Amino acid sequence: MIESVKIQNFRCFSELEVHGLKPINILVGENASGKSAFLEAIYLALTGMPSSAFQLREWRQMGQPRESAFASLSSSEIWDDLFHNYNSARPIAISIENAKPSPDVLRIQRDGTGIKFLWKSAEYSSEFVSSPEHLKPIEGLSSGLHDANPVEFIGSHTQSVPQWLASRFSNLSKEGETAPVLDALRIEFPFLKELSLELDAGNPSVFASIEGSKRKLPAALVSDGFNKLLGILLSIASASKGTLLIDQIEDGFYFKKLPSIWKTIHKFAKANGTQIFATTHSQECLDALLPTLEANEDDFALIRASRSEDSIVFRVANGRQFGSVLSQGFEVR
Amino acid sequence: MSELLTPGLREIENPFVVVCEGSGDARFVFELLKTRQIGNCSVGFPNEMDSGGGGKDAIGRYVESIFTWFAIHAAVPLRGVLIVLDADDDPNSAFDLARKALQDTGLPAPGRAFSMERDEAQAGTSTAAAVYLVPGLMLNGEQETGTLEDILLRAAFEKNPQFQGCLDTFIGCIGKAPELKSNKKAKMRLSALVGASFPSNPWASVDKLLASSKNELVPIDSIHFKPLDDFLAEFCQE
Repeated sequence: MIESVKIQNFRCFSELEVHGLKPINILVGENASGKSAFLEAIYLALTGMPSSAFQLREWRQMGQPRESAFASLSSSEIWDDLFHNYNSARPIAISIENAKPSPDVLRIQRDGTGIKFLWKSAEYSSEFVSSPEHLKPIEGLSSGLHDANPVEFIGSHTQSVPQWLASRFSNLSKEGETAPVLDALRIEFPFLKELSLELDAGNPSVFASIEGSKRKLPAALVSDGFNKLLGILLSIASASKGTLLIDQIEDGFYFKKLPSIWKTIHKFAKANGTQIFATTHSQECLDALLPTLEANEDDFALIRASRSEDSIVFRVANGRQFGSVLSQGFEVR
Repeated sequence: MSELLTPGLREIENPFVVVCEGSGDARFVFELLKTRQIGNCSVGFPNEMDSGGGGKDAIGRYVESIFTWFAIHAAVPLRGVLIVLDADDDPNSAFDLARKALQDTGLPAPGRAFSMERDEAQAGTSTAAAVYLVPGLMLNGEQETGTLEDILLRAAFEKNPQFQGCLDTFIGCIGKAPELKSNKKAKMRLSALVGASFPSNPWASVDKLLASSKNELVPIDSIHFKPLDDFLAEFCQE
């Protein structure tokens, strides 16, 4: 479990240290206070790959650099938005402290015309150089590190991609591990009978068998909330003993279901040993968390991000403090 | 400007916070602050919807919520927390409860009531903490037992001495009154007095009375409130 994170020169962070992290960490704060950038920093540090930076572009809806344009794009156009104030002269350093004897550290620094990713942990180290001739992201390269640091990211738009769900479901299915996901989903959607992988318009998709319907439905057609929870549960299982990063966790859920959904997510994450970092802007979502939070104070932390004149500050409250301020009706966001 | 942290008010504007047991106590302190023109203090009380229950039982959770709010927002530094509690029949227990609430939260814990404790716990800023037990100290310096209602009644009787005899007769006529503790009797007296002051709403609360511009029953500038009034002024200058 990640216990603390140190970030230098990444995105909006010149310097940032966040301590006191717990199994489930809720990030709040106004727009442009660094919540999503914090998730990105953790993702980059856990994967350690240049290709992960391209993944971040997709989550930010910045689009991928076009393949035909790689050769003509200058290196700075592709990489410099990772650096604080676009200052790539100073390296990025992201350090993740957990129970290991030494932290996982990712350094990203300019190296001639390309960018060098240096990743070091207690057990592994790796080095990737991205120069203009091989800028294309190669997902396969990250598999080794993924085994060491399983991590999943659910952005505001990621969960709607059928192939993304299908890939996670397929991995679980091959291991015979889909039953716990089904059981957890049925708590919220008792009409669910079975999940299966089918081709939909030629693309692999997760389909649901539901009571009262002979025909299976693509998960996305059951409901937004169903699709979202399926994505979260599959990601928790996929990142077992690792980390799940969720941007705007409340999206898609009916407000009356939120208390129960929190309970399900907490229980499923705990069973899988998956640490969660989730952002939210929703007071309803936070209020709905209270019963689960009060029953499991040691499992939660609140991280409030704020922007002052020239820096970003993250302040952390432990589960007990988080529960107190929520229960008394004060603003935490 | 001092403020009353009523349910639904989600932000705290002032660096000093007075924590009371309930809405009536908080309203009383707020009216004292207004009269004395103390402008840097917020007054609140626990949310009774909290699963821990309202009143004294929830004081610790409320103090922690105040502390946490300041810690995560840091819009203004928390400069002081004053807990105002009824001494009831056992001032020592009341003080211990308040002290524990401060200590558990990480705030400085005073060694006795009516004194201010401070430390430098929060990055260069100084937070004071204190406990005031109502009714207050007697002339011999010992803590008086009782509740807020006792001093409100003293103020009311000072202005309208004839009320005391009426209420004594009334209480005496109530079947179970002799069995009641003096604290309960004081609440009963005040409740009857307040109800009678609002013919259009006999269920009116002390909170409503103190908030009313037509409050002629309990003069907020009464000499009986001066010790608490002075303590508030001193506390908010810390």
